[in-house]
Amino acid sequence: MINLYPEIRRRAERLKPQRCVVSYATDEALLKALTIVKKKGLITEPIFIGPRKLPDMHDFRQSTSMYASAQMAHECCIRQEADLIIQGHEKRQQFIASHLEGGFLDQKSVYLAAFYDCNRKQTFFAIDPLVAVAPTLENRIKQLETVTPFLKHIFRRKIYAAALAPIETVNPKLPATVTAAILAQMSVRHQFGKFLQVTGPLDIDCALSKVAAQRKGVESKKSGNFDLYILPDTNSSYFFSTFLKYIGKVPTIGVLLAADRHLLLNSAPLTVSERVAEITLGLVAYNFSRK
Amino acid sequence: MISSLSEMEALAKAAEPVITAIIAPEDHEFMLAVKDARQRGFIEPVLIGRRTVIEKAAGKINYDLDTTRIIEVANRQEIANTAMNMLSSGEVEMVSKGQIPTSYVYRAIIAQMKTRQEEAVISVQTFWDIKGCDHLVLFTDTGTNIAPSESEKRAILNNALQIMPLLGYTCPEVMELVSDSANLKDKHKRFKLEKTPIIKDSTNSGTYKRLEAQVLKKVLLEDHDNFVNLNKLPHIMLMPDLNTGNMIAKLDFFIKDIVRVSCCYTSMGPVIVPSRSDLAEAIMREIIFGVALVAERRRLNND
Repeated sequence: MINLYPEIRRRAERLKPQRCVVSYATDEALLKALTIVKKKGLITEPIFIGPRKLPDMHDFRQSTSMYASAQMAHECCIRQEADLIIQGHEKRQQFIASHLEGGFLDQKSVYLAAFYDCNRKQTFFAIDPLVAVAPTLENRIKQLETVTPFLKHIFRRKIYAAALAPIETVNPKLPATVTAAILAQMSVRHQFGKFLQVTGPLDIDCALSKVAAQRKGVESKKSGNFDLYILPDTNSSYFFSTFLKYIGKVPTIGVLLAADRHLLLNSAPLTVSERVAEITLGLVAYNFSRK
Repeated sequence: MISSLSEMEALAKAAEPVITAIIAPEDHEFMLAVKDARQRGFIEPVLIGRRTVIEKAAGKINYDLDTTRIIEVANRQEIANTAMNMLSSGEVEMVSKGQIPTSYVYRAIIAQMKTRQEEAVISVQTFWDIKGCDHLVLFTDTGTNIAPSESEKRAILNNALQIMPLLGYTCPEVMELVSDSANLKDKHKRFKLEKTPIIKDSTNSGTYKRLEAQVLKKVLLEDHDNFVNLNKLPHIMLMPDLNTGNMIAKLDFFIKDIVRVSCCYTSMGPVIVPSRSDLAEAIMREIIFGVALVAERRRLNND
């Protein structure tokens, strides 16, 4: 059924079932995915909040507005009725705003996008197409502090990250090159622990291709094979994800990692397999943070 | 309307060889592309740079330089300046960057444009030939402007509108890329496409067609289902900044359904700017693209 994201699937193998709450649930594809995840024993009966009850919504709670839906989902988690919040069909801004007002998204919050490289049959990740619009160095450091242990948990080995910038040399006029160089140096000094190695600044071609890196005289053993791409800002990150998804047809999912609560956003359109993988990623993240 | 790079190649094949200044062809991959382009009758190269390094690169690929003009210049900036002077005077019809950082080339273009009292906002146009899409897609600016202001974006759009008619796109669709996440924390000030700086006040001016406020996802998806229709991609996509432009332009290193060419089109003619990471095949593609542009310029001038 799901051959995508084998690394994530493996981490989900021994998880105890969790409970999800779906805010403003109107999406039948999501229902199908939840049914599959439930059959796999990863979740118990989900709570559905929404305007109307659909077949297979056994635990349904009526809500007339998107905002009220998000609030009710939020309260489900506070009352410990649910572990993971899944965004339904309400608008993303509205959904996240309700959690922003709850104070969930702090500087450590990061949207972790996960891609499946069908050629290498391997998962890779990127940050951050959503949260920090123009991240400062401090934002980036905090985001890496959130992401690194989680990715180490996923891969069970050292993580190799590429800090991307428009050019591969440091230029003070291009802040992304400076941030990338600092992150790389910090990783050399093990400031993110011993399990993250950041290379940067790297131009995207040098990051994606070993041959390109060699042509430009950039020494990077992991070119073409990085686990994590650290993009300069949300614009570049968002379009990196969007173009890979729509033009490259690369399966793309993600989870919003926040200090207190992780959120699964509605990154439709997703196939049922991708939805299953995304819910699984959220469950793995929840379990990891609980530990 | 030219819909693919193979159509551009057909135009280039039919053209007389284009006298082309090659800036610092000091690498065998560049030299291989130049040699091949000359042998196939696309260009008549003028090599500018350090003679010994050029000869060494040529020697690696058995390129006999006896009948090729070489202009010896040592300083990198002067190499680029020499090429741009030749383009401005009409001595050559096209310039190609070799294996030197592009900043030298950009500085030379700007200096030349100032001399000619032209608007000195240069920008790089990257074209994608995408499998499954019935037209070429232009991304700009992908190389020079770090965080373009409103006036710079307008100039970038104008530069793009100079090149599109050569490809038969008389009224291209323009979309300014806006991510649907950029306004996440600013829920009261939605930054919708029609309010973006460049095209906010422009009605259909006849030179381009403005796309309605949409993020890329909504442009591509067919109504009522999740089918991605690449034919709906706009002809021109304005990039928000250099971080994004540079990143997107080179995604062909991952997405194999894309073929990329880039150039910096000027009123003097095309300056092609292959990446230093490109191999001979990709450099050759850019040369052919530039030759086709020159051929169309010639045809339009004759008309």
